[in-house]
Amino acid sequence: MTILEARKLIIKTSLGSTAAVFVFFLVAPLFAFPLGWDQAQRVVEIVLPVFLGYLGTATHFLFKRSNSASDPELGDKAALLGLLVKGPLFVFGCGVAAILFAFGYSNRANARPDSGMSIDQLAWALTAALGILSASTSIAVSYLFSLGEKRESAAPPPITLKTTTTG
Amino acid sequence: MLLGKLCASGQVAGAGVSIGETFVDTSFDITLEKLQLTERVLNDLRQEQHRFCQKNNMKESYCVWIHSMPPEFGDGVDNIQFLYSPPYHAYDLGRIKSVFVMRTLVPVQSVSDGSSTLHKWNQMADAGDLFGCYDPVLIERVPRTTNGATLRPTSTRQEKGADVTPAKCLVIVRNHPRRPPRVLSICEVVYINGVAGAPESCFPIAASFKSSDWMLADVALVSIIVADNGTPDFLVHLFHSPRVGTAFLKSNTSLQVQDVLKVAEIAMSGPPLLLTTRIKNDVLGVAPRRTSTVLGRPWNEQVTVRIDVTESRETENDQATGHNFTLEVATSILVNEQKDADPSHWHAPSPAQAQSWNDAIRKRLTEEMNNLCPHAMRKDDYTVVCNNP
Repeated sequence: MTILEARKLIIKTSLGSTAAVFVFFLVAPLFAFPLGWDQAQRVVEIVLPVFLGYLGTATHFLFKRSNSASDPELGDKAALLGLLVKGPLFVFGCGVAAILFAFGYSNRANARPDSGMSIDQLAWALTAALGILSASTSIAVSYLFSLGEKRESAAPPPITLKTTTTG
Repeated sequence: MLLGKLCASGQVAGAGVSIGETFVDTSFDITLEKLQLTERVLNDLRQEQHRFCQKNNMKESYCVWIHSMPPEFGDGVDNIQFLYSPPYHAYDLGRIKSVFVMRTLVPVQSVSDGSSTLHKWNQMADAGDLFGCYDPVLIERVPRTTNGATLRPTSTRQEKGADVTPAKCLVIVRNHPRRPPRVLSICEVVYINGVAGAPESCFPIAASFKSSDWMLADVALVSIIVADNGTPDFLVHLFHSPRVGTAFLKSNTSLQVQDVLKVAEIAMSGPPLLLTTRIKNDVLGVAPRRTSTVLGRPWNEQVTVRIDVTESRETENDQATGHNFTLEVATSILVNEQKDADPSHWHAPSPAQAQSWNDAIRKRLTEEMNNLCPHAMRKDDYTVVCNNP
C-alpha cells in the first residue's frame, strides 16, 4: 500500500463511518431498535468526533501551504503500512457490528428480562472499540497527513490549484 | 401516581409529615426552604415545650405538654404530645413500629448515626435490593370514607402456597433529577403469584441539596392516625339502577362492590394489560419487567395497578333508586428502553406514556363494565350508566 492509498482509505472510511453512524443511529429508534432518541444522540456524540478529527486532519493536509508534491518511498515497510491502516479499521468495524448485534439481540422483544445490554454498557463498548482504533490509527493519520511537510518546508513551493474544464 | 411524580420531576409527593404508615400530605414538593421552615417550627415548638415544663417544675421526660399541629406539617393530624430532642432516631427501614410517631426530614447532623445511615440507604438504592419481605405487613385498604382512605396495618405471615396473598417487600429508589434535590424514597413492591410489580406507595426518606443533606427521623409523638395512599390517576363511575338486572351476574339482583371488583379484575388480567391480579378489598394487578404490552416496542415496563371501588346509594322515600360505584385507579409504572437490570435505568414514564396506560385501563374497564348490564350506556369516557332501556 502506498501512502496515497492509505490516505484515501482513511478519508473514505471516515466519510463512510460518519454517514453510517448518522444514518443508523438517527433511523434506528424509528424501527424499534432498542434505543431512545436521547440515547442515540449520546452514542453519536461518542463515535463521531474521532472520524471528524480524521477528516479535519485530511482537509488541513490538502490545503496547507507546505503541501508536498511527492510522497516519500516506504520500500519494504509498505506492507506494514497497509496492515496498520486496514487492520484497526477492520477490527473496529467487526467490533461495532458485534456490539450493535449484541445490544439489539439482548434487548429484543422476547429476550429474558434483566438480561439485556444497558445503554451504559453500549457506550462503554463503543468507547473501547474507538480506543482500539484511535490507539493505532491516530498515530498513522497524524504521520500520513504530515509527511513531506518538513522536507518541503525548506523550500515551500507556491500553491497551484489546478482547475479542469469540461465541454 | 406517587412514583411517577418522584422520578419524573425530582419533586416528591408526600413530603410533609409521616404519621404511622404514610405521609399525611401527598402533594408537597421538597424544597430546601420548606425543610428549613419545618426545622424552625420544630425548634420553636421545642423551646415552647421546654418553657412549659420549666414553668410547671416538671422534668421534660415526664412533662405532659400538648400542642396543636402547626400548619407547616400539613392537615389531618391532631396534637403533638411530646417532642423529641436531637439527636433524633433515623427512620427505621424494617417496618414502622409505632403508629404514634411523627416523622419528618431533618438535617442529617441532627440524627444519631445520620451520616452512616444515609450512606447505607444510598448503597441500598444503588443495589436495588428488596428487603423487609419476611413477615410482611399487609396494608388492608378499607373502603373510603368521606375523609379518604384508611390504612389498616395487619401483620400476617405469608402462607405457603397461598397464591392470593400478596407478599410485600420494601425497596429504596432514587430520583434522577437534573437539579437538586436528589431524593431517596422507600417504596413497597407487591408480589402476586411470585410476580413483582413496580414500586408503589413511595415516600421520601432523604433529600440532598448542594449545601445540606436531610433525612427522615422520629421527631415527636402525635395523637391520631391519618393516612392516605396517594392520589388516584383517574376515576371511573358506574351508575346502576337496582331495577335493572345484571347480565353479567345473577339477573334481577342488586349490583355489589364485589361484582364491580370482579369486572375490574377481568379487565386487568385480559389483553392488552395482561396483569397478574388478586382481589381483596381492592383489585391489585402487577406485571414483572416485560416488553410493554401497551406502549409498544422498544419499551419495557414494570407495572402495579390498584383499583379501589367505593359504593354510594341514592335513595328516595327510603327506596334505593340507584347505586353509584366509583373506581379509583392508581398506577405505578417504571419503563426502560432496554432490558437491563440496573435500577437506575428504570424510570418513570413520560406524561404521554402514562396517559397511554391510563387510556388502556380506562378503555378496558368501561368495556367490561358494559357487560355488567344488558343495556349499558357510556355517558362519557369515564362513566357507564346501567339504566332501563
